[in-house]
Amino acid sequence: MKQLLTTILIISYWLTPLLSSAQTINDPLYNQQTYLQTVNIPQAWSSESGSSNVTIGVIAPGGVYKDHEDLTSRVTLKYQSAIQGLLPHGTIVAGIAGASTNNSKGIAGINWSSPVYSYDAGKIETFNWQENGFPMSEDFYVLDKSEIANRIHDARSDDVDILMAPITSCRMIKSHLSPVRNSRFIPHLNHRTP
Amino acid sequence: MLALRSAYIEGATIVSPMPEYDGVLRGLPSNLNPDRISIAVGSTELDGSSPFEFSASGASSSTKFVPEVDIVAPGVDVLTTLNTQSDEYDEVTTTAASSGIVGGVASLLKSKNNNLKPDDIREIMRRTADAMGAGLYDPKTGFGRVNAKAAVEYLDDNTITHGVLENTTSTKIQSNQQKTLFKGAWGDLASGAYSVDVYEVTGTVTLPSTVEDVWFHAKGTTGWSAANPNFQRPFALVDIDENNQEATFTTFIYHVKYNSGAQQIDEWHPTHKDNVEIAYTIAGDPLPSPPPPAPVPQTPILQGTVVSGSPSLSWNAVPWGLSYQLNRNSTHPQVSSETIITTNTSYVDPLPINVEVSWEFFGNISYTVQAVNYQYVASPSSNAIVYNEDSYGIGGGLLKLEEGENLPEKFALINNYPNPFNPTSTIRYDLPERADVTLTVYNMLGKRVATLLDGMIQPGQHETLFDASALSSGNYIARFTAIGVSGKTFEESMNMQLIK
Repeated sequence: MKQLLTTILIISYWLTPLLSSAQTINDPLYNQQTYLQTVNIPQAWSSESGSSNVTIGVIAPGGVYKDHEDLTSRVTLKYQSAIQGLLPHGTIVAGIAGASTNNSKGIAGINWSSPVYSYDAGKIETFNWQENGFPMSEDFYVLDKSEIANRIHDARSDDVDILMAPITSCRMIKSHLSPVRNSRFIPHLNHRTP
Repeated sequence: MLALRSAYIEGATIVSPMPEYDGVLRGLPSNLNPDRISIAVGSTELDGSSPFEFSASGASSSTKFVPEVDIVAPGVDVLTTLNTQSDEYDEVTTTAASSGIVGGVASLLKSKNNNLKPDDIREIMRRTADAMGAGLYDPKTGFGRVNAKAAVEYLDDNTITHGVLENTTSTKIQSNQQKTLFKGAWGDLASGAYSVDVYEVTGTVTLPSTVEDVWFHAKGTTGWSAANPNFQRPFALVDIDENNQEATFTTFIYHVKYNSGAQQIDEWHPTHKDNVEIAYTIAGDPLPSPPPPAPVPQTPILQGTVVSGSPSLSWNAVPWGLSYQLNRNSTHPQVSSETIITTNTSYVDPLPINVEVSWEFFGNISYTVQAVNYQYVASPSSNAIVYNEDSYGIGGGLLKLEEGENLPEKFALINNYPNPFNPTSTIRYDLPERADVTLTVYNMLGKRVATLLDGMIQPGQHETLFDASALSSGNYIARFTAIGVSGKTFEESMNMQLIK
């Protein structure tokens, strides 16, 4: 019995530092986020996991889908014109950088504490015209340089520190993207060939 | 796209994915990255072992704003939140995912040190990235794959300090050169061909002994690259000498003389060669943490005696008193006021008063002592020990010692009390030093009716009684003059009303 107790003590002696230095993450999909290991995020967490004094901003078409269960407590919609999360890019980066960690849901975010501000990169404009004497009206989603510049200006006014702008795959257009008020555009992002 | 530059200048770190490859490079804002405003992120495979085949590379071009990749992160099959349903997660393949990883790491760095500027975050991530190409920079993978652990630990190992170099010297290195200058997000000169003189501007900064890295900031730096074109972005070269003792910064100023239409311009860009500033960061070993504040020492109790004609002071040692500051305050014309620092608890002051004639001019010499801790925080002053004329006898040598009192700080005549009065009233006055004092009372016709004081009086708070029994009711004026031994003079009058 004494020998067994000694063995247990020795095992716990060796395990204790391992257990205390390892991060205990209870998000069920955490083990599938192998990219976090690839860039040594868990090792960085032992030194820094984020500060509430730092603000992350996301500028994307439709901003971030705040109603997502893993984002809702972290994300604030600061500017919204189209439906939230019109395109997936804002929600993609917001989840990677700032999904709620240790909430027993979904994935772990890289940053555990910094608030995430969402900015819709473009805006809906309603255009009216006459056609054969009949009044016509249609919504357009306007996403151009000046609109993005306005959102960057807004983000700076809100003291955003880290601004992520995943808008490169959107055409800089002033074009018809109707209906944009109540549906989302879901491109095929899970294929290896774009 | 001025807002992008504005955001950079105000301190936001912008992270954006490289445009995804589909035959056309397009998108914002990383396609402005020749200006180096945003951190342009490229993609690797999920395990980070190789660059993703379709991630755009930073091919150089002189005619288009083609981005150059700064850093890469996994962008293939990255599990994250989706915008479809509130509980939807999936693996996505997009450079946006890579930028989310880099943005997350950037936010950790900013969280660890809130003083970091955008260029600091970019440079730290570059310096700590795991290189994937053969050289320091690879067009496909930039400075390599972001390494969060190494980036955060860089801030554990190094203290970040900022500075601005202003003392520079300039040398003209090119005259009347034809340069094609592109206007990017920076700069105020329209794109076009110009005839310019180019000046090389250099300056040096002395480095601390433990320097690790030095880099410049676009914000706060007024100088361009010598390259052609240069997109008018602030630029400086940094060269650290082999002994790590100083950093030499080099930047370039353009004196734009003519445009392509041979019209004279005569402008300096981005600033005059004599007004160059270069903002920089020094990363080095952490400075030792400051010690906790030491308690303020207790106030010592000062005692004085006479030893061989000299004032001999002693006091008690007090906790946290590493040294003692003995303050000598003198109104004697031959003795200066001084502060004596000692680690002892006694001191014999070798005053230079050893000639008889000096007694004539003797003023006060008083002492107080303060205990000082190792952070140079002093205790309140102790009680004062005062040596004055009465302390000396004829023939020199201290004969008598008086316990000092708190001397007035300045001359003052204080209103008599009571007033109106009948028939006596008390007049009080303050003397900060020994003084020749007169106090004379006049009636309203200007006739002197009483002389209350006339002679040398010791410093301190004094009072004298005015007895007006022999005078009739009316207003009287008391005139007070004092000439201190230091030469200071004081005059004041006050009204007194006698009612019988």
